[in-house]
Amino acid sequence: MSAPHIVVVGGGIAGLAAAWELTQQGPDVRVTVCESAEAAGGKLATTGFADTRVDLAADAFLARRPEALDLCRELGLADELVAPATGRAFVWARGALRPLPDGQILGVPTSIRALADTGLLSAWGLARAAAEPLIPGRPLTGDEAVGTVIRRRFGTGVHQVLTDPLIGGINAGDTDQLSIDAVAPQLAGAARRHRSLGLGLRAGAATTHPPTGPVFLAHPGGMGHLVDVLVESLTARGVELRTSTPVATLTRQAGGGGYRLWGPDGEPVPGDEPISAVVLALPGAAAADVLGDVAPGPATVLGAITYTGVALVTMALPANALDHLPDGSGFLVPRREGSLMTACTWLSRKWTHHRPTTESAPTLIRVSAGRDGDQRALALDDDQLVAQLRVELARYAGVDASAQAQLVTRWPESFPQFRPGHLKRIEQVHATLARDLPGVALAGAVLGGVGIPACIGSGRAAARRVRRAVTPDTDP
Amino acid sequence: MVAARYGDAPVPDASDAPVPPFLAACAGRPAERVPVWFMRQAGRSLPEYRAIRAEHTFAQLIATPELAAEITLQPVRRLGVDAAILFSDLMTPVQAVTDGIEIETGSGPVVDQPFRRPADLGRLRRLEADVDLAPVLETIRMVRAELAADIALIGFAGAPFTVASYLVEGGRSRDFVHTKALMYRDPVTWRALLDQLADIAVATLRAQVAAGAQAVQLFDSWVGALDADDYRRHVLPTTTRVFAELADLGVPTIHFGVGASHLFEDMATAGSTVMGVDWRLSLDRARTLLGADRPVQGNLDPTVLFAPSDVVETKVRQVLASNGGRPGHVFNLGWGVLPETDPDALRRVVDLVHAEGTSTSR
Repeated sequence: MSAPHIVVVGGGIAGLAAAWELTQQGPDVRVTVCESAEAAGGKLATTGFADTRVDLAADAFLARRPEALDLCRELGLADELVAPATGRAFVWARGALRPLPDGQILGVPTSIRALADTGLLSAWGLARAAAEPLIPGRPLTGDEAVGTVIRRRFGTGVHQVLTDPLIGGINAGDTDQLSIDAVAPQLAGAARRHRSLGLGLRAGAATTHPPTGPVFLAHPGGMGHLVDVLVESLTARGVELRTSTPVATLTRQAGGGGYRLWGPDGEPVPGDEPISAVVLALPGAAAADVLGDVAPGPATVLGAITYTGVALVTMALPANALDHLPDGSGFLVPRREGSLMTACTWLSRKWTHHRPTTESAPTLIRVSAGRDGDQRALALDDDQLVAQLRVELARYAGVDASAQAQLVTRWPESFPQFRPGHLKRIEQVHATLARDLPGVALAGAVLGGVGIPACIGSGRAAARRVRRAVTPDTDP
Repeated sequence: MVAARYGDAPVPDASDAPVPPFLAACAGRPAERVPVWFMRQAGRSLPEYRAIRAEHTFAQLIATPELAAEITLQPVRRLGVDAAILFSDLMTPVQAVTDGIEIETGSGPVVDQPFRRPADLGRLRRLEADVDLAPVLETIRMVRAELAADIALIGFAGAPFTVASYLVEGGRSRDFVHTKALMYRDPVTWRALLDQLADIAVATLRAQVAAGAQAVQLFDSWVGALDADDYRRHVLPTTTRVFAELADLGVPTIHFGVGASHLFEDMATAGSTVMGVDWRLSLDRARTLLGADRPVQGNLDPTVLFAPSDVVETKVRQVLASNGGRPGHVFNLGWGVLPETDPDALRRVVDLVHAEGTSTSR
């Protein structure tokens, strides 16, 4: 009997991580990755720009979770990783760029003195935040919008200038509609521990070791390098990567045992033979389409998850363009300002590998625009978008962004928006699939985490699930 | 529209617990004594307040329930008044929904960028009272837990005109030139601003009542700067809406403006249960203008408290006499306690009103 054939649909980082995990326990399975685009990597991509290489989406991963760092170790990349040169970041508030307060956790202040020092809040906003431990309430029970929880405890000021820019920024979302369990589990934990979120965070901090090491890590060659090395390693282990290979439908193999995948024109994918197991590492709508015929319940849940888009503009500025700005990696712009820009990363300050090496070399910045509920940036053409962002750069940072060159990257419908109750619904989806479609598992950001570690973790978890279904006797 | 039907104002706990004299008077009922409290009795003149004030910013005092509750209760203890008024500020709710307003000791609210253009309307967020004013609401709960059953707690808010005047002028003003300029030049923006501020006042007062305030006062402190025609045209409709949107709460409402005797009859039509009267208008005259049954609050000239005590006594008796023993009189000053006022003088006023004030059945 030939080795079981497992197909991973979707060659983003979650799908690639799933394939990697499938190869970890020996060569007794055959693995194929089907990616609809011309190259694997999904949103992790790096391109040449202004004589260097810049990321087209994420430029670092969170190192406080293990998944991404572990994968880098396995790929032999760990020693090459670099931390940002500075951890300071700013928020535009009350007419100036003001630093994030020391000790903040996803924008939630843990020290009122540190918060006061930033000048982020008005006298009332600060006094309201300081009153948090005194405000009556009950510990969180169900899931709720993270913005609602923060406002209720700390007031609108903290929400508007800290948690919404930070958590909203990570998810391109509106924190009034984002599940606290999905996007801020550490805050949800504290809110469940204690009536006071501040006291709950402190109680949590007291029982765990303070984290050490850098918060974020990156590879100087960009996220694309991580993908390249991963793809090479997969190929070396016999994984077949099929690019430009979209998958439209999954069906059960007639007569029981295994599945079939079909392309958009009804052709069998990846070949005309049954498949033992499938990892679907796709965005919600695509996964819903693939599952529609065989798992209508999960398909409905996945199809209902809304996505939002962002536009990123990388600019090459004169070497001294940022010299007037304080040390830091960039700034966030709260939603209330009504600007297109949501954030600006001072790439050349954040990363030593982006520092100008000669006097004529440019300083790089990257401006993010667009979030849930504000897709104006994606409706503008490149010239209009860049022109408006230049105006905003001048306003917020005093930067003359008459860029020598710029690179506009658009990521429409790329950030899943996790509404309250999301994780429960996904649990139900997992349970239904395990019951009705053994050997089919889901991976990817859609499950509940947009970060690279979460995607990698979801891919590897899906791989372990389908492997158990295919080779139950090897299950430890 | 006609004045509120004050006689129908429900009185809490009418069945068993004694009705606080303040609430009985607000309902126009005879009470065992003429209730008395003083505008600005909390904070300002009391030495025990100044001791707390020295260690905190004004915003901290208002936003820290223990401190604000203590300051609210201080005059009840020291002066023996029949009602506590929440320690807060007219500008607190607005301060919570826009940046750039600070309340500075001595000079009052300071607005960084005055509101004068249509675009400025966007700078006022909708008030989410439960969130934005959470510490203030907790203060109310704490005060209610401490107050004796016969002492009432009064909440308050700034009326749209008066709050608007701070926003448009950028702070205190003598002549309200920018306020009136906006009102005349751009009545649409003016009305929209007042409507936003009315929404804020309503949300504030409703939340205060939900938290335990047993009566509310709407301060239109500076509206006397307008003539009657401008008041009717540019202010009264919005103020009327405020009272209309409080009507279902079933708590007495008090409407007050200083130096606004020329507007008294018009203000009375806005719909409050009780009309506050400043010292320039005698209670007798006020009663005549209102109709005899409408409750009134007032109206000793606050500067009288600096006079020799025999003069104070005479003036207090004049106020009582001017009301003539009719039910529905809440004794008060005709404007807020001045900062330098001797607390003992206030205490003597309370004692005298309690000793000599009477109200008889209609």
